[in-house]
Amino acid sequence: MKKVEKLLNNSPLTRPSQELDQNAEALFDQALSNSRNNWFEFRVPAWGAIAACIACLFLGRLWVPEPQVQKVTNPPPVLVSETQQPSPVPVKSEPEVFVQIIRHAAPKQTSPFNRQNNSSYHRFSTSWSVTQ
Amino acid sequence: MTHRQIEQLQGFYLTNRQALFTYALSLTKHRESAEDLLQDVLAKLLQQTRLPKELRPYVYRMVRNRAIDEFRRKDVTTTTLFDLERLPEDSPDKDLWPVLEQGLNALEENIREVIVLKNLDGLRFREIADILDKPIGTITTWHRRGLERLNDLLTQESIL
Repeated sequence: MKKVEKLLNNSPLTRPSQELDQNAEALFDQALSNSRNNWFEFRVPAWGAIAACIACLFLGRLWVPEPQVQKVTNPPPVLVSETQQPSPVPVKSEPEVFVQIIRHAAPKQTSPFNRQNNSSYHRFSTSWSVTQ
Repeated sequence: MTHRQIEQLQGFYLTNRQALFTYALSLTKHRESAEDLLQDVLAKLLQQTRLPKELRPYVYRMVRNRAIDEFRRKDVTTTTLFDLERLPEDSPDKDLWPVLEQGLNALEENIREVIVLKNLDGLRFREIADILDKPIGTITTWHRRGLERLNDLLTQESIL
């Protein structure tokens, strides 16, 4: 068994022809030149696409939508006949009261050393007053 | 495929061309067919976008599949695996190689493939198992069986 194995391992194998090597070399040369062309074909569009994306993002930030104006059409005028009574005018039964609400903001505690009140509840409280 | 991968493949081809040719020849039994097969496989490999990590079993599997698909011919002039012209005129082993080749051809196809891949191409059992898609135990059994048969044949022919 060992002898057979040794024989096989050192056998005079039939060699491939020179033509195979030449054809293989031509194939590799062609593939290499194609890969060089592909490099440019790939890189240039890739950078172009990235530049286009950046431009789109930049322009998108600047773009403000225009307000859409809708054409308003007035309803047709209603003709009031002489026999119809005009609608009653609402009577002012109560006087108008104006109320002013003033917010007094709590003084800012700039430093923890000159706080007036230690309570956390009062720290952020604001007071409100109503004047008529 | 990138420039670097093509160069990697070229290096692989230059290192393994003899072994790949021997395997292709053992499958096709015809020199031109074996060379055409290898060229086809190379062209196919170069068209791929990327190469696998385990390149050697992958290429051998491609050679095998391609041989099964197209290049296996039944009635063609066979080319011998062993080139007797490479031996010196007065070599004592001149009569041995034709008998050994005859013995190889008489083996079952899978056993012959294992012998060719292991002993003529120098592949590892793990790689052969990967190429033939069989468990490694089966491959070692086939290998041992093949060697036993060749040994028996050579003993019978009183060459060993």
